[in-house]
Amino acid sequence: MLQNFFKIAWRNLWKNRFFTFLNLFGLSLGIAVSLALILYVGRERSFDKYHQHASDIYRVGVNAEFDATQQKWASVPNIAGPTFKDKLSEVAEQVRFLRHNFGSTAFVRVNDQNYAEKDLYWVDSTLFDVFDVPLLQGNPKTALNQPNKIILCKSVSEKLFGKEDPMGKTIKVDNNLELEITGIFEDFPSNSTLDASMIGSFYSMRWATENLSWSNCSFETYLLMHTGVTQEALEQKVNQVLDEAVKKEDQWFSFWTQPLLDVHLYSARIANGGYSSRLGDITQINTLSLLALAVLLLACFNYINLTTARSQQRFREVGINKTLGASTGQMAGRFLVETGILVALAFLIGIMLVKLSSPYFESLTGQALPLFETWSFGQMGMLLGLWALITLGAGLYPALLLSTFTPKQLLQPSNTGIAGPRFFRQALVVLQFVVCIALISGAIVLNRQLKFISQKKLGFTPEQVVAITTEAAEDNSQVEALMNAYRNMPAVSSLCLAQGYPGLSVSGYSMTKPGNEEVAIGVNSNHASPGITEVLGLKLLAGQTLPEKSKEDTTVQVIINEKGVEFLGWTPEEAIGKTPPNLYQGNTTIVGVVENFHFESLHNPIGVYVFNNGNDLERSSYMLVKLSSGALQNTLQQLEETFNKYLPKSAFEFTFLDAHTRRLYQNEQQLSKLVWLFTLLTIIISCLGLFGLAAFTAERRTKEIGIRKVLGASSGSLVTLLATEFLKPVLIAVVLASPIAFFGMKHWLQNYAYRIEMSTSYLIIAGALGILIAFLTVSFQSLRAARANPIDSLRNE
Amino acid sequence: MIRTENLSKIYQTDEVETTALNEVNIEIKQGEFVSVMGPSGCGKSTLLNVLGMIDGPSSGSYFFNDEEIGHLPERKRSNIRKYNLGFVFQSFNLIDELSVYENVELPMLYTKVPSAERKKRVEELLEGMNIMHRRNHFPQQLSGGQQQRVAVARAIVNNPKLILADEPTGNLDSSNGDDVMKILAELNASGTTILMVTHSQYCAEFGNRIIRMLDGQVVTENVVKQYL
Repeated sequence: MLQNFFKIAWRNLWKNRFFTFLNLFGLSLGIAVSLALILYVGRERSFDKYHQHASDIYRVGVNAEFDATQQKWASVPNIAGPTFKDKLSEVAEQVRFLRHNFGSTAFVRVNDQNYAEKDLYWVDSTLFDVFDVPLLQGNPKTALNQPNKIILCKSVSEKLFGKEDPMGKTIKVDNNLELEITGIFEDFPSNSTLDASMIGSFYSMRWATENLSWSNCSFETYLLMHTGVTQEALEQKVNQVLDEAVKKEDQWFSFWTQPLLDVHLYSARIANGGYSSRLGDITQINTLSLLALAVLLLACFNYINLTTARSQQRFREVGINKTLGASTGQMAGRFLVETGILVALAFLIGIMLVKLSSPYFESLTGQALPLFETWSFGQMGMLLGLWALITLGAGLYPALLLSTFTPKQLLQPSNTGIAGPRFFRQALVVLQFVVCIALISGAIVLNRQLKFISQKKLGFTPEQVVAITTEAAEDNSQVEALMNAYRNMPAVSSLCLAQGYPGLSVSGYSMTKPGNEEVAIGVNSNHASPGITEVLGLKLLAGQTLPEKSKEDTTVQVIINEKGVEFLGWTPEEAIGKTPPNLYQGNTTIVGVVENFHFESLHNPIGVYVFNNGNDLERSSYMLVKLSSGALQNTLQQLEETFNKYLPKSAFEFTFLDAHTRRLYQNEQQLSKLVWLFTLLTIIISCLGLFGLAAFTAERRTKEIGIRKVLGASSGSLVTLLATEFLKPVLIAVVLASPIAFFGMKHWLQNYAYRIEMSTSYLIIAGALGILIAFLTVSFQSLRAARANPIDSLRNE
Repeated sequence: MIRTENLSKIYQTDEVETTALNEVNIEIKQGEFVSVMGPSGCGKSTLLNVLGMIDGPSSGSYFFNDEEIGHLPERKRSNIRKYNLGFVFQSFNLIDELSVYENVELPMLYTKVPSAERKKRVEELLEGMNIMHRRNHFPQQLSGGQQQRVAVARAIVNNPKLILADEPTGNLDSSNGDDVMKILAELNASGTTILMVTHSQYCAEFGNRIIRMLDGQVVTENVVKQYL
């Protein structure tokens, strides 16, 4: 019987090649997209599961309170971890991570060669007890148990030492720390949140090891718990420890905990989400899953639509079979087999599409898709499950509908079968186009907002400005010499030193309103040298730029932005020469006021920003160089050569400020690409369905068209007649999709402090596009039918 | 074998009520070959549908082998149908996607006849109908006469007690029509009961008895040959 099912199904699919192709194409696209996203989402959800104790590891963070606002940080003071281990019997082990210079690049010198390494961490020797970090060389008991020891990942070891055995050799970090290599570890797998490429012993950071305190929250700390301890109990216990150690009135934070398995996906929205660069975002995962589901559903709708529309052609077959004794169940089974075969074929094509589009996907997500890297039962089970689900989802309704034809219809030649659930089909078309038009509107709005961002005046000029890291200079004289050398280069128009630049977070201070110490505001503070306003092209509203100052000078001069003087209640002119209350503990004078500029992404409103020149404040880690000429490649080479001459023991590392500014919107650009991709896919799939339905209708109405033509109808009027039937559901879809898109996109735009106004014109464009696409799709078939010779169609009938 | 008592069938649409069968009382005995004649729309096909258990009556009773089956649910009717009845249609109604062999084999799949037995029976029948050489062809590759022979083979492959034929020669030329009628007559001679709807007096006379219908009622019954 089953063999018979397969035979008929296969022959039927082959006989109706056109519809089979339409269905296959739509389903393959739907399956390819869902497969790709299932794999991607599966990978995202697999993060950190490979650690033996994964489910018993928790990260501790703090809820910090500043100026009556709460911020969640994923790091804690250095004393917290060891204290928890001492005081709480539930804690089996603790390990602290400190990223080198809080995230700055480490300059590594080996055999007179300089390297810039981004992922150096200082970690407790208990690392190996908590996490699975297999050592290829070295002993986990001793690798990190003393100061000045470091272990390297295999790829860094190969980069620094080639084929030489690095064990026991020394490297120099930032020209001051000499470290002995005591181990080599396998590179962390791509689904690991830990992203260290070099791990130095925590003891090497003497200041962090010796000055244990409850204040500096810079240490990412993981606790390995004895099995069975709940997260709530743990959170309660760690806060009890805090209560015992710090008086309530002195507490400016409380602890929170996070399971290791949540770290990757649930940290993106935390103000300070930890040191790892490998953070995913559960919201993005959910959005993508929803989009994938939508595409898959649309493909299933197509199948349902095309199959039920053609049901009139199947009633004869069902009638004969039932007359011969087939039951409804047997017939339904037969149609499901047909769907199953088609879905299996679509899977094969879908898998090929995933493989082919893998490089594109990698460029979008930065990850290759783990499809059949290894054959596993899990992956096969997933594919089989998905196959069964799609077969049932797409095939069940048509199978049930078709199998309920009664043999009576067969014996009544005048009865051409039931019309099929026309209303249901139209509803599905409406739904498809609702998704389509909503996505088109979304894509248009997204595009406009991104354009707005790129054209928005930032208030400073990031173009042609290079930020060069001078962190590893051995002393100030080296930096000064380099500055002088650069100044003499014709390609350099101006330069300065700075702690950071727009787009990079700088130090956080606060100041109060004059005469009211209760009202405070956060201040972004950037230590800089006099050239800063010229390099960044900032517009001075009053006063002047920072003055040159001697090393002995203890006063601090600042340039403040408009937002700052507004808070202080002064005009720019009034502010000059005054002292902002409680900033840098007195002795601070405002020497200049600049126009507001966007020092963060346009997601955030502009806050208070200050450039200072205080000798006792932060160091300047960057040299910002404004270039005048267009021959960048050449100029960069000159900059590098000069750098290597004056800072021979540092590596030349640079960033273009405009590129850095663009990177602030990387997520949006990625999202925009994805939305366009999904929009295109839904349009293709929906149009395939519409195309099929139009073909079918044209076929069904052949006789009518013939008679109308004989009676004198023109081709144009017939195309209109046929196309209108399909434009109705699309028009309804426009009406339904518009409010969804309007409010959805309005909500999305709220993410930006600076945004375009949501306008109905975007919806009108999207609706018109939807209608145009639908019209073009159906008019081809309609035109073909309308142009046919009426005698042919009548004779066929 | 078949007996009806006041059998009526009324089709109801939104505003119109059509009486297709109006209190029909007929009886068909085992081994009879009965022809039903009458103008278009007189209810011949409806009678065939009801007697073939494809449609249920609106009122009255239908006894098949002395069992009242007119009001049984579709599942039970389907069960009686597949073991007891064979159908031959004017338009052949072969399944285009199946070969000659597979078309004839199909009813036996539903009655769960073992594979070897199926093969034997199909081959015997195709030989008997002289279309064995066409066994792997598809319906659209055959002439009308050949298609109808395949349809007849399919109708009798499960050895049904009753064959219902709805204008079996309607789409055939006279020579092919003659062949089909001869096959039906032979089947009847070997004991199969046949009920045939036809417009052709010539074909009707192959039967033992002719029932004439008008406006949903039986108007006359003529015995053509004495049933033996």
